[in-house]
Amino acid sequence: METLTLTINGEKVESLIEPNMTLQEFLHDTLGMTGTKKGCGSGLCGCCTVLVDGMAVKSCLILAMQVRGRNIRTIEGLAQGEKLDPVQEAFIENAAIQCGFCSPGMIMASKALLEESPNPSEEDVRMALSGNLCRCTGYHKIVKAVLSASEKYRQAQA
Amino acid sequence: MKADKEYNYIGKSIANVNALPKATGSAEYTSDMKLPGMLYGKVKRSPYPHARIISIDTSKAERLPGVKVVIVGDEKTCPGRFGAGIADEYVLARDKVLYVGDPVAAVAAESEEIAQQAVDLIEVEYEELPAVFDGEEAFKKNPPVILHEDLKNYKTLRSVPPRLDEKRPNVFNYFRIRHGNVEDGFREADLVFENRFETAMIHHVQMEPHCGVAMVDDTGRLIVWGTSSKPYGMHRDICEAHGLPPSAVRVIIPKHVGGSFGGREPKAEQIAAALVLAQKGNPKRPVKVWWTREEHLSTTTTRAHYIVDIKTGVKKDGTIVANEMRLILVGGAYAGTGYLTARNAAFGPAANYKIPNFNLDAYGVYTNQRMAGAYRGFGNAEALWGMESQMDIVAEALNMDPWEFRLKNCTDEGDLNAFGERMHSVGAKECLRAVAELIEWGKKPESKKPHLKRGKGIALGNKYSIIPTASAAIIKVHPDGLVELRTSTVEIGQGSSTIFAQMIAEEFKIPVEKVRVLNPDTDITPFDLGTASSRSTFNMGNAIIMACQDAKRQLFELAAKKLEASPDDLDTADSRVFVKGSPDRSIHIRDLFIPMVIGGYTLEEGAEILGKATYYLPGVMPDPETGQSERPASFYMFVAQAAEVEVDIETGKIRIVKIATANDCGKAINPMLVEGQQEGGVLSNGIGSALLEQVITDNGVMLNPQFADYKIPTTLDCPNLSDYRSAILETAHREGPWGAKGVGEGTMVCTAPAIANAIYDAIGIRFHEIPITPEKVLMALKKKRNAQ
Amino acid sequence: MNTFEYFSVKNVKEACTLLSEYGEEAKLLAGGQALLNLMRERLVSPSFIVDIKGLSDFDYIRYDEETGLRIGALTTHRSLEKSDVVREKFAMLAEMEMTLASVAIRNWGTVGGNLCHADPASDLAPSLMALGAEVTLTGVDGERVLNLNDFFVDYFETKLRSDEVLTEIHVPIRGLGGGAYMKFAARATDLPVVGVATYIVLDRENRDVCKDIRIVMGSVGPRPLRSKRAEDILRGQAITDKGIEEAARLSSIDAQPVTDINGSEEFKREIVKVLVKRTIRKAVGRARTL
Repeated sequence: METLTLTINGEKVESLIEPNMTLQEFLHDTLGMTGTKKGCGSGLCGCCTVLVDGMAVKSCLILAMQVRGRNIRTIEGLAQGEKLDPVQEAFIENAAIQCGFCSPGMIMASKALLEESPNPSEEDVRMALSGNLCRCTGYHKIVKAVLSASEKYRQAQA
Repeated sequence: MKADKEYNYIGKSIANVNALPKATGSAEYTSDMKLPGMLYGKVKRSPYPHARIISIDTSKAERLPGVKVVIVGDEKTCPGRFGAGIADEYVLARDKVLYVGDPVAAVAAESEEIAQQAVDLIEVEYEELPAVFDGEEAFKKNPPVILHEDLKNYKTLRSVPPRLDEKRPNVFNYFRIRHGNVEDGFREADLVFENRFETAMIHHVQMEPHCGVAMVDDTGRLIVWGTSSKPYGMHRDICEAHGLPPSAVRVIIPKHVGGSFGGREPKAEQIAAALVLAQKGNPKRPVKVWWTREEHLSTTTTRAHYIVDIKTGVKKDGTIVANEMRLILVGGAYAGTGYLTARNAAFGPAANYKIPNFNLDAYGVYTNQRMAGAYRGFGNAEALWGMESQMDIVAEALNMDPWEFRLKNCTDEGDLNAFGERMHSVGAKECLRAVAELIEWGKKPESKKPHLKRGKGIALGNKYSIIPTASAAIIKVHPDGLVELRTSTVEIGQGSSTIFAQMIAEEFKIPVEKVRVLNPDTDITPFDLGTASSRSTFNMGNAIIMACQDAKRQLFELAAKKLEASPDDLDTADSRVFVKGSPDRSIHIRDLFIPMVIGGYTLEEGAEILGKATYYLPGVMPDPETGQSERPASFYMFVAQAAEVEVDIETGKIRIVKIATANDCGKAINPMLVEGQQEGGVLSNGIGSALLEQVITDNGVMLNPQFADYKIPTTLDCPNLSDYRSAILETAHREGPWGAKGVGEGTMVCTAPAIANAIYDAIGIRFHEIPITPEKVLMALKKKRNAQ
Repeated sequence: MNTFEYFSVKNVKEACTLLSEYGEEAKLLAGGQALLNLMRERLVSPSFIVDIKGLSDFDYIRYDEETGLRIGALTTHRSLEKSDVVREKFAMLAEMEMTLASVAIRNWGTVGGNLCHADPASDLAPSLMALGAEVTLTGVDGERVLNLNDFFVDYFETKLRSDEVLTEIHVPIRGLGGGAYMKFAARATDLPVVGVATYIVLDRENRDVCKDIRIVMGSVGPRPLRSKRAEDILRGQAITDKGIEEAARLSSIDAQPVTDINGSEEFKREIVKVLVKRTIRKAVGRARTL
């Protein structure tokens, strides 16, 4: 057993874990934060995407021990209380969510993009989300939603 | 139908009512469930495609600390056979295994890791038997392998029974159409074309792999949660597997399910249930069985490898006079839903064009592979792959524009189809015209560089919806005015909960936020045939309207007394009941309820407002010899699609430059959600099946059971926003709720031929099989160059 | 995956010592984007994991005119992709990184890890080899430098000794050159079915003459292959269409592809031809702008 201390959605978390536990398993199974999902376990579908110090990563391919002391942001920490993040709003308004299984990962990857590139082109969006698979939407309204969210951010800054 | 602006909610693109929890991560799926004391189940699978089970030694597994129960396929744990149409399957294989991956044993343990270790400790001795994978081999009168020797004695479904073929022992269903006289037709024809087309086996790739969670309540009654899209189907399967009466099992489908696309046979749920029931002692602990992605892709039902033989006769003026087809669904070791898919693939070809002489023989055959059958389109995409490729071949020979050729021959309102059914609500022409405009059909595409060739292609399709069909709905009006809907339609992401809420909001004239749609629970929500066949909007929609009317009738009868009016003079809006024409004479619904001594809120007279209704459409079963019927389906959705492709003739790579779809769905209850269906169907299933996806096997073993090698489209494989265009055509159906039909499957039944026809236009090569990979293109180009 | 004893080291020396002690039973963990997958599939089950991801001293990209580009082994793919100096001076590397898997993998996976994993379908290896890169390997007994071409042995096998850690990649600048990397795969996010990296240096006086060239083919052999015969017919010669075609033809013969689920041997050889042609032309075009 190893001691794991890290910050998740702004809150300090300390836990005793087996070192072979992935970050996704720690979040989903140990902490019950079921938004971060296991879709393949091999880092290819993106359902497990979370942010580590602002970077989008595949949490199923990272040992929880590797993110000791880091800042993790998951889908559960995106909204500020009742106030949704513009990315979440845009996804809902644009019907970019169908079955929703890929959505938390897709939203987190989108969030990472917009924090790095507040004014992305469509190509930038598609490149940023190429590691997040969706079977329901064909990505059409997802891309629309991300571009719409970037517009919302720009308006908020203005 | 009223004009759109007269509706509050019908025809409005409101956001999905279930989107919020999905966007914030609080949505709980079956695979997220964790019950107190829950065990994890894993399965031991056959490594052979066909073998006799000689012995199974579970002793080492049983002794492993943390293992609670180990089961094998025997009379005790798996007494009954079940199946969608033929009862040919046990929960765990008994005596013989029939495909690589066939489960022979299962373990429930404290953790997934321990369960897997236990599975690895189970020792199974097999006697390998010869296996058959080839559909035509299996189809033979004297096949090399017979999978089910006792097939003719298996129990079958009474309502839509499969038809076996005495001469062909591996056929699990046979359906035929005999319309007109094809011999005369072909004699009359000026040109006759005969071709074969095939589709590769592909997978639905739902993002949430199948999952089942089972427990027993304090009376020992089984409760099972699952990812199935047919709760009552799953319910029957479980009862039949264990010889339990229907009331002994409760099936619940959570509010959130990670996709369906026509798949979702409830095997994980069956195994979870078996692992619960087999536990000795008290208490029996809940069990969760969740397929890994590899298990999901390699053992669950696929869309079959289909063999389509088509012979078409036309006159010089372009009239189709005869069409003959043989369809073979190369099924798996158990028929599953494939038995019905094999039969219903016939609808697509039968309804696309006016063809006076039409023969069709549709078969489903067993092979030593995992099940194949139900997939979005239900055999129609496969059959139309053949027909729509053929039509372009015919048009070219006639020197006719393929679009003109289709317009000339397609069905229209009032035309007879090959079932002998007079068709109603046919949007074929409208769809063809719309899509031609979207793709700028008349404009020849420009090849930008010498090694990049461009072409355009078009295709027409349709998808029927099943009969017989039954859907029941219950409406409860709460004392505060909230209206609750209880149905067994599964919200798989398509937006059924949203459009049902819109329908109720329209009927009661309340905001959609005051409607609650419950998730399916066989204890609470009444019977529905299943969330399949694009049937929910139409069938459940009608049941909802009727149930709303029943509830309103009760409401009006109660309010009439208070308002001193006749119930017929009343209406409701904003949770108030009022006299039509005198809106001041009104009463809030809450004022119809009073607090009851020691109880809650109840009606002044009675208990509560509960409306119920069943929408039942029996249709007319096709004649077994001729397939003729005046109502073999509830309705047809039509679709036309077109693509512009660019072929890199040096690498064989195909790029979708532009793609367009025009779908006839009747009234679009929520256009934005209809668009979502179109986009997913075309961009994911459509492009995927045409260019990228195939299950690759060697001796029955899937070689590409994960996302690196089973390739579904990513964001970079789909055309840009401006290069995808869609149109919604609302060809109303007189029996549909507000004229609505459905849309789900109509979205990709002709995408592959539209793309293949575009490729032909670009490089003059006709592909008879999908997927059309770069290697196939490059090799075909090379062959063509060498021939010249 | 199996249980293991976990060490998070504070410096390379500690890592080498642990590797030396546990030998075959230990595995280095950097980004883990390859290793963790192998462990999940139970293809490897190390009893000891030596985590070097935290060694931030080895996360750097440095460039100077004299010694060229130096990349710390724990630099992520994403850092390489986004680095201004890489984009400006070694555009081919940045472009290659943009096609490598997806952003999230690039954010965590390291360049050192990619090279040591030695997947013959690596995008990074052929690109660095074309640039003439060398790697520094640090062990208990000190450091040694190997040309990357000599580093790879076979499928997933390198010359790295059991106690060694790859610590730096060095791209020495040698004259004015242009490079290009292209890959063929069913989808943009896939591992290459065929990958070709070409780096060409033009004669300073006559820009139509090839002074030096390196053509490296990835995914078509047990390790990235230098297409030597193709290089030889171009080196020192005027660049002509005929020469490029011949170089492409020779490359397709010298490649060692195997038939697998991604394509037949014959098909892969055809693609080698096309990518060699296209990368040479792009590299020449780039070199001519300098």
